[in-house]
Amino acid sequence: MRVTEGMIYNSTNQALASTLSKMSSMTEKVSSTKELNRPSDNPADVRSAVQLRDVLAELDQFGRNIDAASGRVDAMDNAMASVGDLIQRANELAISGANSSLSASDRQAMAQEVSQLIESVAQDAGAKFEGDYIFSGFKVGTPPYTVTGPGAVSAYQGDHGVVIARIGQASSMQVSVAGDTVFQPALDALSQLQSDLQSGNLVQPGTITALQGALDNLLASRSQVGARANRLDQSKTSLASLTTSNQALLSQLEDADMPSVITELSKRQTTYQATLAVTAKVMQTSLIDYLR
Amino acid sequence: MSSPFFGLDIGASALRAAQQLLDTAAHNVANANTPGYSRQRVNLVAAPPYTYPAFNRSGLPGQIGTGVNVMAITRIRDNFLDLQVQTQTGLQGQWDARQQELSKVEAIFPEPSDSGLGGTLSKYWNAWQDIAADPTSTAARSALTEQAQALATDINRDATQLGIIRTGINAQVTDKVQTINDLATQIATLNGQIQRVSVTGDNPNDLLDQREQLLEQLSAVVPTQVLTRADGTISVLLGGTDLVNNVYARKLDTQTGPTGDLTPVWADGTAFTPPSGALKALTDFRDVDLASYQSQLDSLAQGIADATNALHERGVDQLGNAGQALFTYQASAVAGTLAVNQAIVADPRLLAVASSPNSPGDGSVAGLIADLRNATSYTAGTAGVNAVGGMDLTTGTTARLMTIASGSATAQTWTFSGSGNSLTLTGANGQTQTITVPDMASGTTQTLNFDQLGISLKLSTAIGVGKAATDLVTDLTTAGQNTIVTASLFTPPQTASDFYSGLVGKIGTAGSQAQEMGANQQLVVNQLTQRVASTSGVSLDEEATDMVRFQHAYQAAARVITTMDQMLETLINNTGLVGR
Repeated sequence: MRVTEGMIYNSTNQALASTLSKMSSMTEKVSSTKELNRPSDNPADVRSAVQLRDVLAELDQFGRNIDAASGRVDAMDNAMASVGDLIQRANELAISGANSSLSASDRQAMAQEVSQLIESVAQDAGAKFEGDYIFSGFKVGTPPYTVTGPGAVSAYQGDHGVVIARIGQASSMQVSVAGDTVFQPALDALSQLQSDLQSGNLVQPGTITALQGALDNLLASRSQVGARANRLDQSKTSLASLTTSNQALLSQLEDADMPSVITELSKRQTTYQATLAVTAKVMQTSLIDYLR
Repeated sequence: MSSPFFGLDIGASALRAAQQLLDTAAHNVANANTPGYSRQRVNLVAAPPYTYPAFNRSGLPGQIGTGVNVMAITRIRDNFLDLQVQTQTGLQGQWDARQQELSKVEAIFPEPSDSGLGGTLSKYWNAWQDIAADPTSTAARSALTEQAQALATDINRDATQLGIIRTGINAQVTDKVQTINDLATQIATLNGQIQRVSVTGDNPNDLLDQREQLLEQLSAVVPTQVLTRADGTISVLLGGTDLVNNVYARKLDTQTGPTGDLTPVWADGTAFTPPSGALKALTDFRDVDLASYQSQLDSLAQGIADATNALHERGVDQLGNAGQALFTYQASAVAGTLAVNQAIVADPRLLAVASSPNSPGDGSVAGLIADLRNATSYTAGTAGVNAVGGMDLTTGTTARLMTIASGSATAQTWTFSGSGNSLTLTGANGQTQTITVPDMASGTTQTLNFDQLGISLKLSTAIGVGKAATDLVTDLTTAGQNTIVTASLFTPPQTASDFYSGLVGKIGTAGSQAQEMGANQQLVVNQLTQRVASTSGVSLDEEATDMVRFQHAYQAAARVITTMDQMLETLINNTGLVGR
């Protein structure tokens, strides 16, 4: 085959250009540390990466939702624990109030304390989380109970709205408890106790049973809330491992395999330098150099 | 007997020939780097010998050589190779043009990254979840309006960028048509010059080279068919019609379509459809690929906006009013005109995330909108009917239509009817299914599953209050509240993330295909270029060898003349002097 200078220039240029373009794409991968820098780099992987990024963003959001729900559930638990103590105290008062050795005035003094207890329960029921009443259903701007007089509270002012926390894809959880289901039996039993004591008579056995019932009801609600707190904790743990595995998947798709990219880059560099060296040798000389 | 001066003439012809050879070598060396130049060769032939066969020929032995003649100066060219170069250059031009436009589109969708539309979309859905988790938070509401505006702005920007690419292609179409016209005029001019040289019997080598160079440039824009005429001129045909015939060039023009797009046509208005080449790549990309990207961006914007609006309009805002549309757009250019309702931006209390009035802690509608992220279709009450109260199916607080887990339902309006505990759902197209509704236990959610219709409705009760099946059926079939609509976000049904990543994938696939094809085509063209360079290219070594050879020939010819001169000196001046 006839070889002309033009051919040597052409092929040299092509070889250098193709090596340089490969080197520049390697350099891009090294500097961005990404395997995928534009949709055409690997369309199928880019497609998966775009979807995975949305999944990860959503998982991150679920994490925030779980944190908020946990805060809310903790606040509910605290309020209920405090009310539990109040009922315990009422129970003690009721038992001593059922003792015939007390005078009527003693009982009336105790009634004063029960009034305080009723007001405390109403206050605890008015617990807030991030500025919202948590035991009022959807009526978060309205306290579930307001104190209307000494030892007297209003009827339940909230509703039965169910607050749902989204804690995973297709996984949501109720994080609200309506105030009346938790506190109404306690308030009813306490006001019964108050009127018993106020009358100066012995505390009725029915009142003690009612207090016991109210405590049981509260404990049932607390254990329900506790179960939710547990589930939130579990969700948080499984969310963390889901996030880790998805991040690993995304990294596998997106991130450049640095050792292999750098090895490849230095291979190309060697090729590039070899091309330059050979070209310099071939192009330097011509017959003209030897003709006098 | 030949004349003693005969040898001088032979020497002179050799001198002339050697000089011509050296001149041509010089011309080759001079044009070694001229694009399209073919090396030239001097065709030498021995001059007609003496004597001619005739009765009056001399009695000498014959024939006697009379020197050398320069027959012609020709160029070394492979016409078949030219044809291949033209065809393959055309294909390369086609892929290159396409690849260039696709790389511009890719720049608009810089995925995977946080700065692309995908990231904005994720943040938008997340913002709804934040409101669902804390509907009373002003910060969350403001953040949502910000994210909604960011989404609209991003989609606007992408639409504008795609529009700029379209404008750019139209400008290129004009340029290419102008290029074709310019090249055609130049080829026609060369045809005239070539014709004039050819009729004299000479070879217009350099003019032919120039014409082939122009043809190669032309075929990169539009594929041509070339017919060579006996007088050396060529006819260039585009799709069977003469672009150049003899010294005449026909003009192309552009026609502006109804949408402002430019189409190439013949200047007389006749349709012109290039079968391949860069011009076709540009118009095809504009009319097929770019149009599809633009319409998909529109679909993406509309799917998200419509679904968000449908659910949002059925919510109740913090002031107790029915929700307004969150997004506005013009149907003719959805992506370009997508905007957020400024009243809501100004007052985020107007975000209607509750399902009934006086429920500030209710973010269930925000939750439903957030659920659109992984939904392929959605269901909502009929506008104007359940406007206030949204999904609230009852007058009390006992049951709420919470969410829709529907999969395959086609877009249409559905109506509830029935009595007792039997509930019938009938679609606009006559599809119907009757199910038996069980009593709702208190504190649980319940799903009404119309499996044959592809719809399942999730109801939730408020805590502590159950609802009998018959009451539920009465609620659901109450006139004026007994319709729901189903719609798909996209066609075919898919999630927003799937739709967007599908669009990005499509752009990426087209881009990588164009890159690969362009690179392959480049290899083919390179190989052909090398073969042309091998055949027609100037080799400086070869020319140097030739120069040495021709120089020697020249020197030898001069020496012949000197020898002849000495011979004549002997004859004329030194002959017959014996005894003088």
